Amino acid sequence: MRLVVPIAAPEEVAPLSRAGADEFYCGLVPPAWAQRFGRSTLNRRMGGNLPSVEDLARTVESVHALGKTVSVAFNAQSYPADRWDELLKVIERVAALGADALIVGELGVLAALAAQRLPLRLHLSSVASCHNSEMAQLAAELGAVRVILPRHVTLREIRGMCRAIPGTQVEVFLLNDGCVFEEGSCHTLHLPGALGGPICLERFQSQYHRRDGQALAETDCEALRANEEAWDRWLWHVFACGFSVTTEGLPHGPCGLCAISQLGRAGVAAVKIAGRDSRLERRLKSVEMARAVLDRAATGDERQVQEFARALRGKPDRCACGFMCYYREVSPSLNG
Amino acid sequence: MMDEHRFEQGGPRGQRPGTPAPVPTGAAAVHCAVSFSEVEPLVRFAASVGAGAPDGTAGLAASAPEWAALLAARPPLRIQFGNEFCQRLLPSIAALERALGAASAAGLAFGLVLPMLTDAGIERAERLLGRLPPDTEVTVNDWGVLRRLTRGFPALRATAGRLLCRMLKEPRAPSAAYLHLGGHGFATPGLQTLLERFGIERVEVDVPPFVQAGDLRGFSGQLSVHAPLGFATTGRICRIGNLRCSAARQFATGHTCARECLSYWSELSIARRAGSESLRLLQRGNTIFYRHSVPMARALAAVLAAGAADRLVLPGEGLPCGS
Repeated sequence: MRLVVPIAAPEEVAPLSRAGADEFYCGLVPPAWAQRFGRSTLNRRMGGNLPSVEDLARTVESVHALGKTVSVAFNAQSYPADRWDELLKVIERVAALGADALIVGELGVLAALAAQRLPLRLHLSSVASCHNSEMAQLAAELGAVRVILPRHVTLREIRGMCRAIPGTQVEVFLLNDGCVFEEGSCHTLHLPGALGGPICLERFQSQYHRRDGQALAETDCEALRANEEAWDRWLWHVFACGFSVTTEGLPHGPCGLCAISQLGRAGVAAVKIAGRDSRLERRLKSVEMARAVLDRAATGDERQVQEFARALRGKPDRCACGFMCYYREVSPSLNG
Repeated sequence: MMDEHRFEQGGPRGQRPGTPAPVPTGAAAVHCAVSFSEVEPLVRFAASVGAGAPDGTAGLAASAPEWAALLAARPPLRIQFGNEFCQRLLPSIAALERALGAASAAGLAFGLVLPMLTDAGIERAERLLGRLPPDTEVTVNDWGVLRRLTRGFPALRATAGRLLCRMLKEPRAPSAAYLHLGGHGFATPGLQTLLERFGIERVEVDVPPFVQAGDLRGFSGQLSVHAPLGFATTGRICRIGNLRCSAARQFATGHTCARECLSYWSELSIARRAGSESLRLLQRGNTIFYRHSVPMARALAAVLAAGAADRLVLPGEGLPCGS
C-alpha cells in the first residue's frame, strides 16, 4: 500500500519524503480566486493550501525529482455556475504544470473533467461520500482511477467496494483529522473560533425532549446525561485527545494503524494521512509512524504488526477504548 | 443591529419565527408534500385527510405557521415516506405496504425516500423498491442508490434528494459573505449533465441562510423545496443512537441503535457571542437542522410565486419545528 501525505509548501516535500511518504497531495488557492470567490471555495480546506501556481510548480518539480507523484485537491462541496469557467482555467494551469492527479469532490465535476481528457489522473475525494459498491462503480465509469473512501466506513464495506472496482484503486484514511459528521454531507463551515469553530466542536447546550410531548423521566435524564458524557469523551479522542502528542511528538487522534494488514488484504491500494493544515512536525511524526507499521506489515505476522502499532504511542488505554479507531472492528475494545 | 436575515421578532435571541410569509398566490402550480419517517403518523395523517377532516394539516400549520395560509388554500397532495438521513430507519416491507395503502385510500400520491446507504442497505432497499407500483417517485440521497434504482427499477421515477444538493448552509454564519452562495448545488454545470444522464426530472433542495430568491434557480427540471427545516449536517455516527450501546461499540461506524431518534430530539443552544446570531438549531438522531427565519420563508415564498419551485415538502412528524 502506498502512503499518501499532505503538503502545504514546496519545502515540505523533501523531509516528508525522507520520513516515508510515497505520494503527496496538496491544495491550491491562487490569489485571484481567493479575492473573487473566497479562500474556502476551491477545495475543502481554508488553510494549508499552496498560495500560488508558482508554489505548485516548485512542488511538482521537487516531487518529480524524487520519482514520486502529487495530486491537487479540488474537492469543494460544489462549484456553482458563476465560478465554473474560472475553475476550469485553474485546473488547466495545474495540468500544464505537470501535476499527476486531481482529487475531485463531486461526481459532476469528475464527469466533466473526464470529458476534457486532461493529461491528469482523476481521484474521487472522500468528500464525495462513496459508501457503497454502486457508487464506486459509478465513479470508475465516470473516469476515476482512484476512489478515496470517507472516514466512516467499516472494513467489511471497504472489502466490498474493493471487490466491486478491481481495476480502480481504493484509498482510505489512516491517520489524523477526525470528523464527527459525514464530511460530504456537512454543509457547515469551520468558522473562526470566536464564532464557534467547527459545528462539531461548538459548545452547544443540548436540551432534550421526548417526541411524544411527555416530560423526561428521571431514568431518561440519567441515561441522557451518561450518553452526553460518553459523547464528550469520544469527541475528545476524535479531536486528537485534546490535540495532544506523546512526549516523543507522536500525534494522538483518529488512527487505523493496527488495521493496516486487514486493509491490505481487503485490496486497499493507498492509505492517507489527513490534515494538510496541521504543523509539519505533526505530519512528519505521522509519516514516521505509518511508515514503520507499513514496513512491518510487508513482512511481519499480522498479530505482531497490530501489537507494534498499538505500542507506538505508549498509551495502551487510548487504543483500548476504541475511540481513536478509524476501523473499530480490529480494536481490542471489541476483540478482547 | 440584527442582520436583516435573522428572525425579526422577540424571544430568546430573536429566533421566534412568528411573522407569516406572504402566501404565493400567483403560483397556482405549487403543491405540498408531507414527509414521514414512521408509518403510524403517516397513517393517521392520511386517514384525517381522507376523511375530509385534515387534523394533520392543522398540525402542519401549527408547526409551520408561515405556510398555514398556503396549506389552507392547497392541502397536501402527496406523502413522502422514509428517512433521508439514516439507513437504520429504512422501513419494513409491512410498513411500506401500510403506507402505500393509507396514501391510496386518502387519494394522496406516494413517494419513497431513501438515505445514503451501504451495500447492505442497498440490498434492503431493493426489497422495498420491488414492492412499489410503476411510476412511483423515489427520492434518493446517494449516487450509488440512484445508479441501482435506474438500472434495476426503470419503471420507478428517481428524484434527487437534498443530500445530493451540496451548498454551504452554515446556520451560525454571521453574514452572507461567509457562504459565498452562487446558486444551489444542483445548478452546477457538471451536475446538471450527470442528472440528465440519469433522467432526473425533479430535485429537492434546502433553503440556505441568507438566501436570495435567485439562489434557488438554475435547475432546468422541477424543484421541490423543504420547509421549514433545512439540514446543516448529518453523518453515520449518531449521538442519541448510542444511548444504549455497549461501551465497546459506542460511536463506532455502523453501530446499532434502538432508534432513539424516534423518541427524543434536542434543541441546541449556544451561549451568545457578540455579533453572532444563529438560527434556531435542532438535532434529531444523526442530523442537525436549522429552522427557517422569516426572511428565508419570504425568499422561499418569492421563489414559489415566481414558479421556480412547484413543491413544498413539509415534515409531517419528527421535529417540533413550530415557533
